[in-house]
Amino acid sequence: MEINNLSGLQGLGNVNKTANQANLNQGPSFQDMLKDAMHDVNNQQVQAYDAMQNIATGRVENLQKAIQQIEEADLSLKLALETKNKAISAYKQVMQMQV
Amino acid sequence: MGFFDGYDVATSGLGAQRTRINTVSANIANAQTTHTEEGGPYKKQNVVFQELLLNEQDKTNNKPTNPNAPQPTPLSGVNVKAVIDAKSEPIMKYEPNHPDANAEGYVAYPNINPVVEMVDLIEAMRSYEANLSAFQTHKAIDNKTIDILKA
Repeated sequence: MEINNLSGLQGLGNVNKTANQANLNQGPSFQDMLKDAMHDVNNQQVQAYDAMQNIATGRVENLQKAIQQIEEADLSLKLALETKNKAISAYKQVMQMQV
Repeated sequence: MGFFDGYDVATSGLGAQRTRINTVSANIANAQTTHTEEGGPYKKQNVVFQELLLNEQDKTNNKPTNPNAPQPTPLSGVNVKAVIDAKSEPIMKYEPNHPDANAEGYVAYPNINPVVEMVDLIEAMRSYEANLSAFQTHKAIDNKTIDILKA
């Protein structure tokens, strides 16, 4: 049995390095994308709360527009939540992996 | 094509039909009005709709960056172009004691048929409901699509 063959694993480290360098050079990072997405969702929530406040206080001029904003905020939050759940479940599956 | 474009179309329809309902209500309310600010009897109001291009702004902004990029789908909402006075002659009724009667004792009443206005009102209401259904369909399909991520 030749244990020396394991030295071939060095190749994996090289691949990771080049992949990271490529990521740095092109486009926004995953962190920025996540931040932007969360910012958008938060903005829609703020708008929806404004719309709800206007409805409650009777200052609403365009009811259908207010309803649209509330629905858009609701759907955006749902989509963000489900995406988060998917990412967490993927992470959990990786952590439960038998080594 | 944006995620929420369909909602913009449905909402524009809701706004247009709401304006129409308001106008028809004004016609019913003023069916017997003989005195107005500009003089003469109340004139029946009609709503004129026009197409509202929702993606027009995106098209102009994206032009210089990449001509090969997929053009945004031209979606049309609806907008109220104008509220116009109907050109119908007033109905003359002989009422000599009326304060708005002319020299011959005739009073000019608006040429408004309340039955026709009620039909218009019902039609506008059904159109509003149809736009509501379009909105709810968008919401339903988006909710179901998000449900794919569950479980």
